[in-house]
Amino acid sequence: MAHKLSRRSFLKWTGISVGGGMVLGAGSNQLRLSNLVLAADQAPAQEEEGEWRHTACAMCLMCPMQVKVKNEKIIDVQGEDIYPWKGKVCAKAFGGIWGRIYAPDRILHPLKRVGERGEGKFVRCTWDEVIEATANKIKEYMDAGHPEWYETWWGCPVQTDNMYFLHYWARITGTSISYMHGQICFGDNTAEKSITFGGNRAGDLVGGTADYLNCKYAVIAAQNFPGSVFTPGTTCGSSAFFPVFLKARENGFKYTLLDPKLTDSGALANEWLPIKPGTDAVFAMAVANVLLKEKLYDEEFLLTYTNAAQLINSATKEAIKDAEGNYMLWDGASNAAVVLTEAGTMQGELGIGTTYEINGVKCQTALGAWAQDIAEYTPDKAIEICEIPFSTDKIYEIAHNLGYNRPAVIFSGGFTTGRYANWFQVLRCYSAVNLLLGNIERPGGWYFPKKKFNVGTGWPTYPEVPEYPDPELQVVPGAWANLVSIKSLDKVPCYSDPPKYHPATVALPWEHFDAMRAGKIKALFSTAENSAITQVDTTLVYECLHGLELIVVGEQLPKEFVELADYVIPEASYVERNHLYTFTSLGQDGKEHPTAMMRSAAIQPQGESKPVSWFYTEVGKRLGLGDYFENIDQQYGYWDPMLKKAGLSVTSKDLVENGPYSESIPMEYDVLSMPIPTPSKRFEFYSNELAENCYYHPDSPWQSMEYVHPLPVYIPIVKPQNEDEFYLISGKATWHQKNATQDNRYLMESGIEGGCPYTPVYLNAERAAELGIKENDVIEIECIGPVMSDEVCVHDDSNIGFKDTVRVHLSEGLHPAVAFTHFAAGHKSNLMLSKVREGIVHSEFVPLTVEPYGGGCGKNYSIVKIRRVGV
Amino acid sequence: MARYGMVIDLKKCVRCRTCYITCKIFHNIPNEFDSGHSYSRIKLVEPEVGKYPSVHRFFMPVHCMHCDEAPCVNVCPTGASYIGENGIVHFDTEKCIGCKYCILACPYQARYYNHETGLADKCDFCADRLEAGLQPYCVEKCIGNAIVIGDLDDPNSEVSKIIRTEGAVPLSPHLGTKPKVFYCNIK
Amino acid sequence: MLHAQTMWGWPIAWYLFLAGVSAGTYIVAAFWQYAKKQNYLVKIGIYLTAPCLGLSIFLLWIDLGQRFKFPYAFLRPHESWISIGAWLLTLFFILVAIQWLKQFFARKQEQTPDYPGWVWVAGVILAFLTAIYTGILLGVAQAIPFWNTPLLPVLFLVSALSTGIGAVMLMAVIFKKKQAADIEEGFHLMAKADVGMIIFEILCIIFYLYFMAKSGVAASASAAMIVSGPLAVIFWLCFAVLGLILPLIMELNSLQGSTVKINVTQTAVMSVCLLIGGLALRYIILAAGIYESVSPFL
Repeated sequence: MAHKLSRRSFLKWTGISVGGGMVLGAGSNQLRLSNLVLAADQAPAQEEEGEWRHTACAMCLMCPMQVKVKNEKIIDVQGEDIYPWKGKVCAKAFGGIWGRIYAPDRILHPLKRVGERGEGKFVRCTWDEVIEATANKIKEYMDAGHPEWYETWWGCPVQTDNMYFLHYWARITGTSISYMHGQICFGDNTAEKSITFGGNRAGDLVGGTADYLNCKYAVIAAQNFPGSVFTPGTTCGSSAFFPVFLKARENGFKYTLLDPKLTDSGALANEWLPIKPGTDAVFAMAVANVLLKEKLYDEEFLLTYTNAAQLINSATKEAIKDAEGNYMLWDGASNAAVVLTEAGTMQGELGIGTTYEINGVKCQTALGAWAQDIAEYTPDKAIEICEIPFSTDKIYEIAHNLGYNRPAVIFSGGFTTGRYANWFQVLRCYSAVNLLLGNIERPGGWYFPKKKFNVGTGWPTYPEVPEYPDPELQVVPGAWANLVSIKSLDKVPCYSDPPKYHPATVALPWEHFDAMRAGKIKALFSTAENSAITQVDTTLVYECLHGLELIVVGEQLPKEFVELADYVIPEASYVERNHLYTFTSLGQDGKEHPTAMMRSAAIQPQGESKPVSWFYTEVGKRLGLGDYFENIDQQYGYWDPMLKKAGLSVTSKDLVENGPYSESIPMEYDVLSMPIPTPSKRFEFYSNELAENCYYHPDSPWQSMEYVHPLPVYIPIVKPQNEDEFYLISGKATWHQKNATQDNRYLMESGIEGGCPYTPVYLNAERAAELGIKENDVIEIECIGPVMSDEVCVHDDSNIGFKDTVRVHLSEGLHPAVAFTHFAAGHKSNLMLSKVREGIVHSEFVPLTVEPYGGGCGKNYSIVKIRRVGV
Repeated sequence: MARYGMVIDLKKCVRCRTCYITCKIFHNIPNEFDSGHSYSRIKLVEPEVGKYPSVHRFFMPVHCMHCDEAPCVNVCPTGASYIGENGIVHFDTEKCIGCKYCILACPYQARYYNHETGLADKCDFCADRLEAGLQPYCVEKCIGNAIVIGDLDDPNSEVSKIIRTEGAVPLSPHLGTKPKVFYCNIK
Repeated sequence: MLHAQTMWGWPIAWYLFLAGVSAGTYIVAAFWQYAKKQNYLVKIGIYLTAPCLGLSIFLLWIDLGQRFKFPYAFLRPHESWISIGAWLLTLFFILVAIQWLKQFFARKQEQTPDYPGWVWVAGVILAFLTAIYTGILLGVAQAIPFWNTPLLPVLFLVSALSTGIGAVMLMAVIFKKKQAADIEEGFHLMAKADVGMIIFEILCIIFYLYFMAKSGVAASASAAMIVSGPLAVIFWLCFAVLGLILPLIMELNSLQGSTVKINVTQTAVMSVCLLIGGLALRYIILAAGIYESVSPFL
């Protein structure tokens, strides 16, 4: 009786054969679409029919694109004719339309669970049932005085329907909201960039905004550059970077890929330097050693814009301060310590190899102390520790390429974050090398767009809406310009005294899991994300989710979170609703392009799909809060005030009808175009914030821990011990990016993979041969570490001992220490395309680690045992 | 009459796979998850060359080569495969009996057999689009503008110029099939 | 990057095999007709040829994607080996079908129907061409180096003759009735001939695989696939042991002494083994058809 719904019968429930002769569902849409395409194919003249409409992709970020619509069906796609797209979009844009919007397995009706949770048995229900069930649950918690027991998890900001409204809704209802996935994505990178460069530069640095057109040489660690990067200019898609990359290469740009894997896109690099996981800090230190020894650093930059000359106690490494608490540096002329002033004036001396004495206390400059600390990590040592399969000369060569080409160089740790428990310090090391190279706001170096449209969040205010409930509630910045309650799980530890985590972390996932275990989160709505498997430690996550009273999920295609839901709502897709975006891209024309654009509803929502904002408005009305929601115009009204705030005269309707508004302004290099909001008002080689909030703070839980050392340090991570043990790491493929590209019948095809099969686990060919493993063999992978006793960072290791089997692909392009799987290539939901279950769910093998202060979740920090089990 | 040929400049190829997916979608080639077969008119050839750590991965979209001495045309029992005046190796589905011999004969594995229709299928340089003055989908949608199609007989056409200046070569020329698709800056 | 063709599988293997068998059985019949001996074996041969060939053509037809457009297959005999084959098989089939029918309607008579000599000559030519053609058909597939060799027609011809003998012997012992004693002499000669065939076939296959293993990447991968890869079981068990070694031993055994005493079971087993071997050979050669990788580096 309790049979599992097969994929076919699931489809049946989702609408394909609902209602006798009714023509409903994407299946029939697909058919009609095919006919159109065929017709267009056979009679090109007819192509002139149909209308190009302006909207945006959402398969990685939000490349502005046009879709040609004929009879309310999309029949063609092209990029907008603005820089850097110039009419082009990548494979994901096409996969998105035909593999998601018009997928035959698209969810087109609200669904209600009928079997056990996770069993995947659903029946069709009405919108009213879902709205009622959701509102009742929130009402119940409101009556108990705990609306925050209901939580909204939103995911990718470009895939989420009006994310600003969702935050406003949470504020009004008193429910919680979290960008759970964000922390796994880039949270600790933002924190690191904030403490080193200041919060106002963090976003651009995390996004990788750099002047690639003038760059001569770069070392780029991972993230499948250039195929899967955040691009120059914040928040565009990968289609935006390809033209810039090609132009840069034409200009002579060369780069070294530093990655355990020769990724599909990484194969475009000029050379590949395989590195053992978790040892990047040593590599960076070895490079720094060469730069320091051969004086290939930018002394003027260091003394003018960084606190490299700041004096610290030689023994304790604590900052030297005067009576007023000012940071000090050594003035050679007066032979005395003087106050360190803000960036802009060249001041002090680097003091490498020098020790000073102030009032009997031996002290050094920050750089001097660091140079001494890292001296042991010579190029020889780096070759050994990083297990780089080249001679020491290679490190010298790379350091020389960087040093002699500076400042037109980039030394990047990549976008994604928290790969291992030491990643926060690894990123600090990357930043330190960049500071030595003086490549900030110099031609060919890191660049911060000078003009941006700051649109705010568009939250409506009195008298449009009644006065906010709990008017005293403090809201603080969340991710992507959103505002969240300071009382939220993600923010309480960031605003404690001293802060336990940096406020620029975007979410603290473990806090949510702990709260779920403690019964303090009882119901969940998830949209545009799949935290069920993207969060690490799936065993823990599933345990938490199974304990909830209510899960509602908004989606277009099946996934794990859909399978776990009590109610599934058919969410309007990204081309079926409106959203404003602004960004500044750096074009292949060498100019900045501040741009405002609308994702518009180019087509009607398919089936019974509705935007989440509509769903939440209806829920809000049932909660008696209609006054706050029902008069908000999600189509245009929400966005016009935002455009106005940015000082733009265009309306959202203009943008929908005429396409993006984009300016072209020349690039200008100016280090101090913005203030530097760090404690020393300089780029911090030595982090005074880490020193004061953590390392030397008597009340900080991280006091005296190396993870928060104010100088960049190398912290070894747990290593595989035996010959059958590996690091299990994951990475992205160019034609995939995130939740939205999973289960996509076009992007999942084998033909698109070329020589990089998507679902198997990769092993180094020689290493596999030693274990008797051949191409296509089936192996069993068992999670064996890190365990809680290994490191203080390990927060939960419920998944130790988890096993799964998978096919092997042998490659020469992989470091022998690792096994590799594409991120989220494998899934466990039976509702999805069968092929996704051929792969492993990487997160099932990754215990939950939490980096002090930066809050990274070590999403590649997994040690596994591998054995061959079959052919 | 133009004698169509194509050149793919691999230094402009970013391996984004847009050629593959647009060809599949707009030519309505059955999806793998509907048909159970991996059909495509463009194959993505991406061999790994060398031994760790000195390894490289090449990347080439492989279309029908529109050979002047096309083995598929020679082996076809019905004349379904033929070379048009425009140099394109056309394929007449009306005449195809589905013997699959052409698929075995093509050294570039440029053809596939559609199990549902019982017909072979192949790239025809989007001949209908060319006739209508449009570019083939793979050319029009290519992010790097890496693919250029044009008249090989015209020394001033873009395709001829690129072949000349960039030293473009066909794949496996030793087979003597005289392909009309050329590659340059193979990397 | 190497992969084997999947276009032609079992139906084509059966087609190639049965075309070979029919060629073999016809040649056996023609031989005894020419020798004016073993009338019974001539009959068996003719009875076998037409159905085998018919079935062979049927399987080729079944494998077409567009079965009702089959007449198009005859359009290009000047170019396409499929067309050549279509004509060849059709002409051969018309001839053997007529012989079959004549023989069937004359089944009450002791003697086989009488034909002018040119009928047999034409039949034998068509039979040889059919057997060789099956090898050439694969051989012209330029993309698959493993097939691209003149050894293949030779191998298929030998196998055709050997399996033809096997098929005739099998039918003869099944339907032997009172003529049993008469056919002993015929069996003796056929076994002798078959020993030669098998030895020649063994030499051929060794030389073929060795030569391929020493050739390019794709061809050597094909050879490896057969000798030690996924096809090894079929190759060693069905082809080498059942199809060659066992019949060879049995035949050599039966040839001791000047006459043979036909052991029905043994002969049946041996003949079936020969046939299994013939089919296995066609299948492994098809399945090991690995495409040569295209390369710009030449």
